[in-house]
Amino acid sequence: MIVAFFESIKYVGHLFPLAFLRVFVGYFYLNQALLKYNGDFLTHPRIADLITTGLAQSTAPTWYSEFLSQVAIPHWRVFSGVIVACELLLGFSYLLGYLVRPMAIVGVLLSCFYLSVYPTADIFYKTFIAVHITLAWLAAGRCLGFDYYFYKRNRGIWW
Amino acid sequence: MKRFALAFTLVVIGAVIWLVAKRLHVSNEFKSQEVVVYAYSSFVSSWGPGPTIAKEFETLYGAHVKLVDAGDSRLLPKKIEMEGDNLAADVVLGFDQFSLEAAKKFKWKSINLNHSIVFNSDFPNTYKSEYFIPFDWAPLTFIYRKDEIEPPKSIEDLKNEKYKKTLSLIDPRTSTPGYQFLDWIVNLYGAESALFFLRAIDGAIFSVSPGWSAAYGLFTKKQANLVFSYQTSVVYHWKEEKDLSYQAAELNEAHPYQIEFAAVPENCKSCAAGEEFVKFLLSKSSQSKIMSTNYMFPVIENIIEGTEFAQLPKLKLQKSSAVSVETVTNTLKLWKTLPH
Repeated sequence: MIVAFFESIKYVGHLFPLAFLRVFVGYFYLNQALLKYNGDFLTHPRIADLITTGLAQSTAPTWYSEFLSQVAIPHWRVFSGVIVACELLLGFSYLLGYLVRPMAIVGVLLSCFYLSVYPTADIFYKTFIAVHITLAWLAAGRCLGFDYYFYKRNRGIWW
Repeated sequence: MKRFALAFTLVVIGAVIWLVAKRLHVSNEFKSQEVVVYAYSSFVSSWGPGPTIAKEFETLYGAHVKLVDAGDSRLLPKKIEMEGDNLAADVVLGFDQFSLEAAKKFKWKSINLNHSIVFNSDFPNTYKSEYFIPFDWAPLTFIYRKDEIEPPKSIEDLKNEKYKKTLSLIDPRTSTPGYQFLDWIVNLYGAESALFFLRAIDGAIFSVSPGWSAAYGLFTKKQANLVFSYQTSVVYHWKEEKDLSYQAAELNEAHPYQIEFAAVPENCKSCAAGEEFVKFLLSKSSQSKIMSTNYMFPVIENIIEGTEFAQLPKLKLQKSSAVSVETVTNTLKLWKTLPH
């Protein structure tokens, strides 16, 4: 597995800029997750606050707004936990280049959520959605990442 | 190797879920607790921010919130003193700069505010305390209708004949904004000269009402052309009545301002939940509700943007410091010497 990791440098060297982007995004998510974990995101209803204020300005569909206000807000603990867990896993995944494609789907969903509750930062989250799609499309985990090991043995859409 | 990879993936996911769940468990501690909140009348009334904030707190924390009408904020210390050791409150809400010193006679719990709370740069956070947490504020000035009267540019203008019988004031002994006016004059002129000034503007005073509602009512019924009130009061007319003729005078002198504080008494019963309620008052959602129903400025940043409150001019503010009980008593003595 380690050998395959270094082999990936040799065979997919042209993807270095993509690997850089992947590691940067991975670092961003890991940093965000740790800030939330060590802060009060999991112990105080920050997510409920974010949803309440965000939905007031959001143009999200009614069913989605209702889902957030009627399900997500009363169960803010679960939602906060899911968000932090997703960000932690995304951070690890992108940094290691492991399971990048499946985690990019998580990244797109997470960005869609933030897009709905941070309508003022829509450009930022739309760019992030494009970045996740690009990383998944070009299989960014195959360069300087452990996905290359799996790609060599089991070719398929997940690596 | 495939099995190792699968096991590794499951271990990482499991570890992340365990870490997050462990931290989440800490926050699940207020279920079925009752938080008793003493607040002033307009906060707990059905049109005030209290009921909606309490309901949201109940939804998020599972605790039950009991709102108790404790009267005017100036009466809060007296109410606490009367209840003594039998004080039932977990949160006392509505102290201002003038009742703060009296409140300090009692024991309060230290509240550790979260680092993520960023106070608005416009908010004059001059009363930093670990016991009393500010939750809204507003400068005070003269409110007028622009088609009726030319606004005073200085407090001295009130001596002018054109302001005769135009001003609706509030009794400083019974109401906070009333006391704010008196304290402002004393700060501007000093105790002795303030007396002369108040006598000089006696002709401008239309009436002195016992409370803000009565004084403001005279103004809205057009019996008085000027009222001493919160700068933010005009937003009510802009928003609810779509009447932009209501304006706040921008004076050359520095304006007084009122900050409202919340605190948790030392002998509280649901202390942790009470502390959480005070912190909850500083959430974006609560701050937004306080701003739109209490018509006061929020204390945290990024709330007023895009609202009518952002259109209010930034007034020059007084340099304020804590006001001792003696100062309040002496200032009120000054009022008693006046003919009103």
